[in-house]
Amino acid sequence: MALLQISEPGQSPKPHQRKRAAGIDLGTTNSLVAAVRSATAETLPDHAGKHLLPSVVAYFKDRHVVGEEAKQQASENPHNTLISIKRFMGRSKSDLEKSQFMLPYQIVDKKDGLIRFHTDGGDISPVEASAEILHALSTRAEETLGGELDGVVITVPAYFDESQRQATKDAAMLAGLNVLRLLSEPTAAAVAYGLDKQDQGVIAIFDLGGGTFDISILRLSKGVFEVLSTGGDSALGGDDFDQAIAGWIQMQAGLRTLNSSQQRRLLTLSCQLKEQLTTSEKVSVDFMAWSAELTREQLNDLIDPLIEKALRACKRALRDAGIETSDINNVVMVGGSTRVPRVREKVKEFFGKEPLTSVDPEKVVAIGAAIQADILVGNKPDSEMLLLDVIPLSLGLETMGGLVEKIILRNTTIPVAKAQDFTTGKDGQTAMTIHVLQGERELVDDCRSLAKFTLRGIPPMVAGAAKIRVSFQVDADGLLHVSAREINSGVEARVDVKPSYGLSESEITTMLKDSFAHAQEDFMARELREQKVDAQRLHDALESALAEDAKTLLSDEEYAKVHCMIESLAKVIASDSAKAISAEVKIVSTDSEFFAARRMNASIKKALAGKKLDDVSHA
Amino acid sequence: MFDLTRNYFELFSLEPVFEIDTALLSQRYRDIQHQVHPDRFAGKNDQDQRLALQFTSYVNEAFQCLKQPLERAKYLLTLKGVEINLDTQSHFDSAFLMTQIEWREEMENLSKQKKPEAAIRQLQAQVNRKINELSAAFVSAYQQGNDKQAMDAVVKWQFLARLQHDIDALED
Repeated sequence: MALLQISEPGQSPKPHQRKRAAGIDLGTTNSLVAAVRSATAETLPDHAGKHLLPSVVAYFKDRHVVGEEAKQQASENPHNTLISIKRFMGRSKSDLEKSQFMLPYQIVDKKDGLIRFHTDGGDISPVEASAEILHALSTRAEETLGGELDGVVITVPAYFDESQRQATKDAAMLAGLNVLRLLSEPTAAAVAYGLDKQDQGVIAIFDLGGGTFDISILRLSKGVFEVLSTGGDSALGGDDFDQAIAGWIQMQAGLRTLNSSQQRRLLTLSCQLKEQLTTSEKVSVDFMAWSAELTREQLNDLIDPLIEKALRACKRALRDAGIETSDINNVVMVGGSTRVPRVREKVKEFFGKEPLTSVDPEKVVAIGAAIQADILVGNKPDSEMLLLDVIPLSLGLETMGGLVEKIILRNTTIPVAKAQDFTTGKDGQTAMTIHVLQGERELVDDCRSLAKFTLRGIPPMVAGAAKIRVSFQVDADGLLHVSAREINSGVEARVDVKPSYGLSESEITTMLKDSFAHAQEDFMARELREQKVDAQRLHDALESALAEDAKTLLSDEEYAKVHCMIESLAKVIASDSAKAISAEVKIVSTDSEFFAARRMNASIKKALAGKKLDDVSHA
Repeated sequence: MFDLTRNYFELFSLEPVFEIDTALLSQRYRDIQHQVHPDRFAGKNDQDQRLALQFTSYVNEAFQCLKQPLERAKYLLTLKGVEINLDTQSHFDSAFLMTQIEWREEMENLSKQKKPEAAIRQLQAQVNRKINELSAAFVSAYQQGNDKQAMDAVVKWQFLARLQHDIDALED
């Protein structure tokens, strides 16, 4: 038998290599990418030196453009220019009909309820358009950092529900990115302010962007962030300020109907007026041969109801967190709309505290995401930072009479797993439909439908005798997997639920092939490379685990078994069959799970062992 | 596979009692999260990520349970093998039922008022006082090994917790 090589304890057998990671703020109005370079996190500019990429994509017959160029031609070409698409992520057509938002787009009617915009370049979904923005930003990062990205952290509003998060992840997959984590925007902002360096405190993050409002209450203690509560409104932001101004102009000027290009011009003008009123007390308005004056006070009256709406959400978030305004140590301002003086005034009045504004409110989220991406990708193994996040909305199931039974309550820390037992309602019932919903209301119709699937093959029994256990698992990105099982017979429907508004895995694969025009070989080469990376990771992990913990955790026989697995992995990695590699990885993963689990248990014991003295003093 | 069959108290190295040091619980929760959270395994292989997910989910569940007094009380009874049946309200004494009905009626009235904030706070305070009484009743019954009384206190407590939740919702 050949002698085994064992590396120094605590040292990985592979030399440490700095990895390329970026943080992306995928915003409603503008998007940014940031990275940690020479120990500082900063946003990365494009060739023209601009940091903000307008979240705008324009489609033509044979090409499309992203960012500033797309924004510039927006008013001449409104049907083909998609702006504020984040508002449509994970939304259905019926959601749009409920909102009062003025739409210059032509929405394609599809049976599946998904939104697609009709453009000269085809029918485009919000996920596809977002993927273009992500692609533009990751290309910028790759050029700046000098190579392919190992991973990205993408921020989402804390209030984003399951389908919106899934849509964001789908867009990232479509753009060919490896997502390390979806991070909530306010948490990223707190990280950017270095608030994690403080010993402890309670922070309120007031994030008023172009299209979304979030309030998050975070507690941090010795480098650990805990989200106490989140709240907000996924359809409230600076765009609404613009809409309010536009509505005012339209009414004052007596303009009943506008065509879509006029509408777009009116919105652009309204946005400019809002920005001018940040520094001026009054501005003059000229629109379609009508002119007047708009004062800051008038603007305040127009937007006060919107700000009040935001403050009501703040009040709810404080209550959910179980704290008073006086408990808050810091208030952080995020989002371009917090530049509006009235917003700052009202926030200061509400919290009784001057809010923090020193970091550019538009860049602060991307910077925080870059810091976390750098840690998650493994560039800072000694980092103490750990972010604990919560789900923003309750998850539940439909029960008799169109009611929703909540399984996981909102603001529960993720990841989380919960199971609930249900039974049949009729004698001899052999199938049961599981309808998963998200929301706080009691009626199915008032909540968002995430998925529906059917558990079949339940042995016929009298009503109430079958015991169906439905398990929910929400992962660290806030994404949900549901499975159902009949306890007595073991009949199982282990369906990884794809939310109704997300895309299926195969759809993504097809889109990947189409949209970036990968030749078939390229696609297969990429798949093989990914499989190899995956197998190598498992191989290295087992190798270093053996080196570190074999003596204490494994018997001789188990040691030999694990060693065999390592060898067979190495052999298959050298081959060129993606299929064989993936099969071997699957086998080894299952067979070595006992070892990984033992190591994790041991690490918990070790972490608490140092605290035994505390036990005595607290007893 | 999962050696986390140990109970929630053991997981955090705490004595299985109602009055726990919540600061110590939070501290240990964080210590454990530092070891097992998926963020620690973001760049690692799928197996580690899956295990991290399972462990962290369990740790979160345990923490949520022990952190909240009512859930902790219920869990203590579960550990003793007492099955908690929350539908036993029919056994409530009439005094408790009367108070319940009064409070519910008051709540209904408040929901129709224009500026009910002060009255809501007053009602909340009343309910909270009763909850404190019940948690004290639970502790003493539990310590004396009187499971039936302990359970009675928990069921009433659960009832009031729901009322409390509904009163809170009035503020929206």
